[in-house]
Amino acid sequence: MQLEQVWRNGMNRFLHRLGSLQVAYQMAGLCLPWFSTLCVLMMVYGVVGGLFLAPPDVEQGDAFRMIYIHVPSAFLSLMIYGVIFVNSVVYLVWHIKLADITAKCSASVGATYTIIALFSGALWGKPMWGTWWIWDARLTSELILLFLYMGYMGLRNAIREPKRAAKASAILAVIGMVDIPIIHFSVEWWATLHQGATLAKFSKPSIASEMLYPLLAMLGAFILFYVALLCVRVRVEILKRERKTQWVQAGFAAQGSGAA
Amino acid sequence: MLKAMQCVIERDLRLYFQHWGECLIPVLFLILVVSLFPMALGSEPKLLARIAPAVIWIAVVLSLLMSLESVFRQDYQEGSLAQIVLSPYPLSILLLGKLIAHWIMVGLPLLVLAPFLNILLQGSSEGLGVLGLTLIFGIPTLSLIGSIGAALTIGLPNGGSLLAVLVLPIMMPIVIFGTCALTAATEGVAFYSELYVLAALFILTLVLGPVALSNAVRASLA
Amino acid sequence: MLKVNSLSGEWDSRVLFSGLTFEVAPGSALIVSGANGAGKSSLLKILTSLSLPSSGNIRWQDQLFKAGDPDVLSQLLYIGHKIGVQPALTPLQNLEWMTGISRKSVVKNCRLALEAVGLAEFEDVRCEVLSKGQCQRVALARLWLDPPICWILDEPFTALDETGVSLLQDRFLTHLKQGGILVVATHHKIALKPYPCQEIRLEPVKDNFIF
Repeated sequence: MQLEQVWRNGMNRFLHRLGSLQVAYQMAGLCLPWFSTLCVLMMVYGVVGGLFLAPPDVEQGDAFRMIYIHVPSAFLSLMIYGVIFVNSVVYLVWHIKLADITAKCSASVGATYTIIALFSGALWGKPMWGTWWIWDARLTSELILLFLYMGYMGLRNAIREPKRAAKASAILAVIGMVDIPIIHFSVEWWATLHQGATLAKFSKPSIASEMLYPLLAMLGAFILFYVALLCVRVRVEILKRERKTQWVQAGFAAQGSGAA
Repeated sequence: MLKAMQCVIERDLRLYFQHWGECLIPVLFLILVVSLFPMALGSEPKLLARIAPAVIWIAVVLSLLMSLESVFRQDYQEGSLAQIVLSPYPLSILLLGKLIAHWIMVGLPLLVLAPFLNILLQGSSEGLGVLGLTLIFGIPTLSLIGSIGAALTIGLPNGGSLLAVLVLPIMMPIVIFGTCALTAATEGVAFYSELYVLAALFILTLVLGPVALSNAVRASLA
Repeated sequence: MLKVNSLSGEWDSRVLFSGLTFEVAPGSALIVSGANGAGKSSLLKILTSLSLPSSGNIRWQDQLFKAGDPDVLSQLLYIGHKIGVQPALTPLQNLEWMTGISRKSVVKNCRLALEAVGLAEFEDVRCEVLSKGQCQRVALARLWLDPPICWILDEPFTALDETGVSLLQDRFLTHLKQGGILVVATHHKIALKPYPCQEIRLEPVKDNFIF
């Protein structure tokens, strides 16, 4: 009885380990076209609606249109770090390989979004404040987030052994996430202390619906772009890691004979 | 359990004492970095007094980073770190013991010296006391955070610079609050809120840090 | 009683061994042999919970062995490839530290242990002036210090001369007689009769993939 239990547990775990990556590979392949198409559609609507159809802002004129790039990318930079955090916790607790793969593949996407947020913030700032960069609370927090991403990717790259790299970067991601509220709080404190009332913060006024819907569309498009990109990268990573298993070799053989 | 921690502290202190010259290096580094600023900026007293809190804090952070890089290296290379991990006593306690030894030999000299560097930078005399107070909370917190980074990067080729890259963003809030407290003190404004936040961060790090540290050491030894 | 259930280990994305199942009862020994790079050290590290296996589990006294479990760790003694002897300290200080973090030590006992391994005159000499074989003896002196029941040793005969080898072998026999468990990774041929002795030979798995 106990032996059967042991055997069943072993088989479950074996299947879980092996099967889930293959299943993930196939599922990602199936979903990818849907995500990409939807992303393109939403982005078309967002770009056309935001850049051409929405009326210019009362205070900022046409410069406000940077919001369609800046806000979604800033939102996504934080969301992706959250995704990395959740995947790191899952990996640390349950040792699920897919979680580690997702975290690894999301990192550079998140870093890129952070850079886009910083650049678009700077471009937005030039007509607003007259300078390319300003140390306000939000941009400074984004900059520190970029440093966190760089640290995560740097650690992953520096450790050669894959399991140690996975564990170490997972721990770093958890520490970073715990630290993000603290960083946000301290940067807010610092900004109010040092700048006082000279700078008008980007308050969130009530936003007209012609401006809002393209913004939401762009947000959706950026999220879908991330998910589609993640599908592609996860598939490549799975192939790389599982290259010696049966199903991958069979797939390559089939492709090889198909091409020939 | 405390006896085991005491055993770890004694041995680490003994090892540090044998190379006590190396323990002076962070202190020398601190003085050098602080001296660089007047040389680069000129000796105008008002300017120096204004930058004094920031410069001293940054120099302390950099000196700590330099010294933390080698906290686990020797033990890792000799295999003693594996023995510590395999001890039946809680790993967090033993690693905390290592950190206490490091703090006594490196942190304490930095803590004692830094307020006097205020004089080098023509800082105000109120600043001296507040600097000491902020550093009492700041240096242990920074060491603990830095040691987690050191644990994650044990044995890696570019360990030192990678450690700095990993750990500096996490140290930024502490630097912010430390320098804000000092700026407030030199302006004669109440600085207690920043000090309370520093103390709170210290306690938070003391609670969560050893757990993260033991996980990091286990991950690096796997 | 050490039980291992379909253990598989990886290092650097290479599978070192898989499906290992064995039991080591008290009073018996397990010898792990194999070519360099076959995975002996990794197997031993997994047995001590320093590393995690990629699948399978380890049971100690019928309880699942989780990493960091103090009850099990207090019954384990591990001397790895890196012996854990600090060159800047004396043998006595090294031994006191090693026993201090695993159990209470008495200085008198440490001196006796050093005498047993033939290092009585070198007690207070820094290990950096000792030879490699002498440092190995310092690490092995723990085996004479009322050690725990399960010994996991990685290449303990490294750098030992003939007297050292016979000393260690006699100690193994005494340990097995007292009902201890011995797991050794070694190239040496050890004579452990009449105690039951299993051998596991690890072969490096050949990479065989088509690109």
